Amino acid sequence: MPPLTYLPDLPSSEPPPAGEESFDDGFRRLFGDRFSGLYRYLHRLTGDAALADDLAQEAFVRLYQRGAMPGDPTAWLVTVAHNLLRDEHRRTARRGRLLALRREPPASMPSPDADLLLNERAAQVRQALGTLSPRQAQLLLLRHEGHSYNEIAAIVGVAPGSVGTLLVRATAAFAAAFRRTNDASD
Amino acid sequence: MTHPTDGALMALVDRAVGLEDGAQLEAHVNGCEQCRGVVTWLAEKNLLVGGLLEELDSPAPARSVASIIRRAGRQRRWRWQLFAAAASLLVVAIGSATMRPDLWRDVIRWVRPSAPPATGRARPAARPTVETPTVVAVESAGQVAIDFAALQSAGEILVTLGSDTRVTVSASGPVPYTVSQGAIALDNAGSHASYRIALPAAAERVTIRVGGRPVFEKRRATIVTNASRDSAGRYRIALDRGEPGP
Repeated sequence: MPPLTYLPDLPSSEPPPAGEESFDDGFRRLFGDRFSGLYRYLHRLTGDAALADDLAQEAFVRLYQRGAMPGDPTAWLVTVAHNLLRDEHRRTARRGRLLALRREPPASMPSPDADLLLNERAAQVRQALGTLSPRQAQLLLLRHEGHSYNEIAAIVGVAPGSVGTLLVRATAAFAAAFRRTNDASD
Repeated sequence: MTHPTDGALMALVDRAVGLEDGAQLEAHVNGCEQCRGVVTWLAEKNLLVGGLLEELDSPAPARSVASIIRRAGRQRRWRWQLFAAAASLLVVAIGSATMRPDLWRDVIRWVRPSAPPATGRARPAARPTVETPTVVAVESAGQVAIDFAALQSAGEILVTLGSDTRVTVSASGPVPYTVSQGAIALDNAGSHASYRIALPAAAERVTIRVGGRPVFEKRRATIVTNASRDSAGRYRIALDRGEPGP
């Protein structure tokens, strides 16, 4: 194994310093940078494309109505989306929607066999995710959506220093759960 | 040799530690077979998990900033409409309360009885006292009983009939009392006060008792009492000896 060379993960594009960008410009930039990621995270979390779309839009609506950028806009958006999701679950009492098994048609139109295989694999992944605690699932999904440890700590409500340890446990638990699911289906 | 925690190694794999800490960790891992194994395992699992999670993805819907701003505007308008409706209701309520105060009194009376029910457990010291010009009043909806606990060494009761719809009792000195639905009980033992009682002429039935003895009774238009009536039409009941009952 070659020796490691450490390079910290730096943001691909630094936002302009505070005060140099109007709220509207900042909002447009943030929307362009983060809407897809927020949707993808919520879709992975809920398994419901329509709900994920609605929650992601509503989180941005709330930010626009706020009229000022919070300290960490990305963490703020995810936290608002989590709160909206909780409200939605309370309101509709649609139990089991979170991390529920759900099949959705893919964007393209693969052959029926490929479609079946894709859906089967997605179902196994969702089943494995469903075995994790909500916090473990959030940690895993947030990290694989590219959020920094500081953002994850702010969103999930843990100390930044404990994010690594929690991620190790969540990763191991997910990998083991997926292996069990995969073995059972073979 | 102290090894870094798995959490620290995960942060190294995720490139989520500062440059200085990262360099230290990296130096350790490069010289430690065991930690290099952990780092390799974590990196592989990260790749596996990342790939698996992509299986869940569907393309993000095409949304524009303009659609978000329009949605925010619609919500703001809706909130303003709700606020305007609430404000209109408030204006109507204040207006009606100003122009028809009796309307609200009726509403309050309908929601809550005009006097709290007597519990019988209240200590005498906690009871309110009748003091001039304090007036005790109860609505004369049906029957009203006014009970004086005892005769007094001095004082009298003056009873008048009028157009007011309420029964009112006022006293020339402090006297504890309790009010329940259709009844006023005065604990006048040892008092020297005199009392004015105004009764509605339209009251169905009113009974005044002193020490348990009826001294005045009104049954619709009929008055039954041995009390004297002065030139102003007031019934005068002496409390020092108690008028004979009706």
